[in-house]
Amino acid sequence: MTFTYIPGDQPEILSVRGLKTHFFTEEGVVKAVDGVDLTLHRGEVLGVVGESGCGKSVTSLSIMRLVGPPGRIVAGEIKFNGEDLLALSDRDMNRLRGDRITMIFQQPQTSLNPVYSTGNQVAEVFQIHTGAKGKSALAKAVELFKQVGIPDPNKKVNAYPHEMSGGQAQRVMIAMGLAMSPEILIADEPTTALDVTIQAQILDLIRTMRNQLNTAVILITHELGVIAEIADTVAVMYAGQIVEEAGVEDLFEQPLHPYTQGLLGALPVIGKHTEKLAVIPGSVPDLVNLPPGCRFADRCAQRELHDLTICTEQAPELIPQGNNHRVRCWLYT
Amino acid sequence: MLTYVARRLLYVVITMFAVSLITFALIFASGDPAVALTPVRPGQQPSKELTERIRVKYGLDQPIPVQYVRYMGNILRGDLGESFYFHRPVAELLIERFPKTAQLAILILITSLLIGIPLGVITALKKNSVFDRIVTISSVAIISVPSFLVAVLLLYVFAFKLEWLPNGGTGTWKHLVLPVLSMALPMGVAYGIFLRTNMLNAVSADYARTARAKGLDATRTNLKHILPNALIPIVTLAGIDLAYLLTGVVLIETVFGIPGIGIAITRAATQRDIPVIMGSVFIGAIFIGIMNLIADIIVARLDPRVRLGDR
Amino acid sequence: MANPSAADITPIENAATIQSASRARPRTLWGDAARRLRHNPTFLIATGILLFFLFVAIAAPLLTPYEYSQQFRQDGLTVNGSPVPPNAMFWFGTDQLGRDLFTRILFGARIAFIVGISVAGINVLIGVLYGSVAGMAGGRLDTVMMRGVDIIMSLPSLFIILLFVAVFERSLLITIVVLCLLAWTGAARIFRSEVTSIKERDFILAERSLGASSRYIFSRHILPQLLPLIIVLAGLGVPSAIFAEAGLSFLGLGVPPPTPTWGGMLAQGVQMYRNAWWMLVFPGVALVLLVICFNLLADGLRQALDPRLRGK
Repeated sequence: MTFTYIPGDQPEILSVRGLKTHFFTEEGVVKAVDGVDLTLHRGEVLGVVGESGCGKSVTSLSIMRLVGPPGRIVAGEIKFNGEDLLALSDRDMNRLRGDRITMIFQQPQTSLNPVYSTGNQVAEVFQIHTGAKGKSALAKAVELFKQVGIPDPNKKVNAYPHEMSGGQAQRVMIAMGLAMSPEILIADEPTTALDVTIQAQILDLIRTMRNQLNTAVILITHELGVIAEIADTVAVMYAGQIVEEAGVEDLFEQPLHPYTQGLLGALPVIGKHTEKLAVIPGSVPDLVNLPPGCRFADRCAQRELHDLTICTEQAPELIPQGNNHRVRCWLYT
Repeated sequence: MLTYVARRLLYVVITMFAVSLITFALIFASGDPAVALTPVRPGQQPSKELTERIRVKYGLDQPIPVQYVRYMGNILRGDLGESFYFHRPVAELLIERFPKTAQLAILILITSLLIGIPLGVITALKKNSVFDRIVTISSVAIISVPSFLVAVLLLYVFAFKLEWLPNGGTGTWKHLVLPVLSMALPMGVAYGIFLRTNMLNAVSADYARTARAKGLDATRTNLKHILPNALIPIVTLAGIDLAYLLTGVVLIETVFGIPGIGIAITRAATQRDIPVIMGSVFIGAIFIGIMNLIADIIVARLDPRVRLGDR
Repeated sequence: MANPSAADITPIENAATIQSASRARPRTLWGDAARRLRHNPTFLIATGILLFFLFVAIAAPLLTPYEYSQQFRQDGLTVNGSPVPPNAMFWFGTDQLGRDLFTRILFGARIAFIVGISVAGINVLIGVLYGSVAGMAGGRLDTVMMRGVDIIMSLPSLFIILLFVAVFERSLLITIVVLCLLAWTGAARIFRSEVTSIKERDFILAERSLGASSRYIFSRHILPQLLPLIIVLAGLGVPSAIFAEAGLSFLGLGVPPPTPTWGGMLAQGVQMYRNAWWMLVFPGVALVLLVICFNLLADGLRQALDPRLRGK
């Protein structure tokens, strides 16, 4: 019954092309997402990794069309089974959300409404999308609680969010996300707010559900450990763009982009003694006034090493480097 | 629940005790308590003979602790003293007058919520619409008009010009319309704006985002998920506003000539009729205590996180 | 590529992104606030009107040839003894005693400013002191102090005020004192919660672990952070103090006559409004306009200074 994702085997269900989501603030136009391309196949777990503020959350909210003012999607297309989500009416988009594309968030406890019981909130998904009424919807919620491993589901459906632990609340969120057996589940830092032991359980649950339902997962995180654990493919984001994408093993064995190398170097390895933790010097560029060249240029050790001048002058494109591996760096031209 | 109510009532008793201490201290702080307690007719010197009579009557020649015990003893027996001005026991006067004041206050509170909640919901749902703009811009002006001026304005239009409603006094429901509206209009607008702000802030709350991600549209997210949360602080605020409400009711009673506690206490203050004022303070504190208790119970019903007795 | 359904979702997330994204330009709280205020036309207009009112209050004796208690028994009253409407001699008409309403409104502005500003100032001062002591102390003292605030807040404030008014001789000073008596509790609560939350921040904890005293931490780190809130609360306190004074004078229990107060003038205006509209309209408009302007001023300050509103 286990499902293993083999690249190229499965049909493409989501394709994001040239997505730009900008925020129009007093200080200027913040280019939070600035030309992102993503492809997702049925049953694939795509990990999107990057520092906070790199645009990974905004990318996922853009796919859900849940970016609020002052933010706006200014360019690009988001094709879901060949249909452009950005061209859908509000009403059609509402029908899709929570049914075929769903999303769970970083803070499970505040993401649940404090004034309704958790079972009630899961049942609401059925009420919205199947027209099920109170009792039968709640019965389905109990069933889901059981599936996502909440003990004593008959009783727990009556519990309020504040009466649950973070891990349990995230299970409720997952139950909500998977209620309608969606084609895509977007999980935005689903484990960041949780204890380490609970993190593993939640990732395990996401993987199990994926295997059962064949749901594709976009997993947003800043922890490479999480990626290594669960992802099939990885996209590394930096300053609103994807700088490298590859299969998960490829990326960990042979990272190409200096930023990815830096990220992996910053990851402490158990049993290996290092003098000091590696850090990437410098900071993320101002997303209002972006440099004309590569956005990573002024932090890039490789640039200095190879004495490249093009890096600060011209922005690189994503360049294919063999087996589904692409990188945005002048070193590989 | 029952222990909670009992504990809250105990707080009311502690409050009253504090009040009695303060008022008692105040009367002594003013110098000679017998003089302080001597009623004055405007433009006249307080009579020396009356002062001496009061001194003996209230035992003000006794040591202070003895006096306090006696004073408290009287209060506990329900004896709030005698009004100099109205020539009758204070307790009797208050029992006759306070229900009118309480009725007016409660009607004002309910009406202002009935005005404020729909106003807040509509302006929040239709943010930046013409209606929303009119309400938000004029709200600053509306809350800047004191209730007694609103009262006069309403009197002028509806009683004097249109002659639809009586211009004062009591009796029928028609007599209550203008007094209630004079305070409920500005208060309702204030609640409406407060609710609007709460709802608009809650739009960015995590749980609202979850509701949208589930497939609810913006309107239903607002009504089903945001509104119940945004109402909680409104009820808390209404509870806090009670003291202010009583203040306003006193002014309204003056304008409309409603024989509640307001007119009595205003007279009492000009005539230095201390027992009436002290009695009013007590009954006012009890009223606020009970209403606060009700507000707390409502908040606990609305918000499952609040367990009565936690505070 | 519009995004119509995006309505109203996740400004918080956006704000966080934006803050981390645009840290290039150096910004200070006060510089920011000044810039916001300069670009807030409502605030500028309100401030302009307030300055005009302030000028009128200060220069009152220079702006009118009459005394505020001067009674014009000949020109100021009609034959049957009622007040005269606005005319060339009495711009705003006269009151029931034949006194010039214009002069009285000018001098009434003084009382409004004196009471409004001093009451608001004292209340915020007491609020900061009380709230800071409770917040810095924490524990039992904090609980007791805040329980006291709860009790005071559940008192019928006007009744207590009237008790004081009855016992003491009425004067401007007593009016200010009674208006400060109970009204500081709101500010005390706000400052207490603010101090409590600042106290728990990492840099304060770090400072404390280095051995800094509470007093040093308070004056060096906490007080400066309270400053915006102090200004905002003081601003909000002025209109409510003016309101409270007007109410008290309306009941005839504020600053005693013959000192002109707008509240007192309104009380007479209410008695006479069917025959002498000017006695109600002019002081009414003056009071409402002043309160509106103070409210707008306070609102502008709040928007410019409240850290919770910054970035919106």
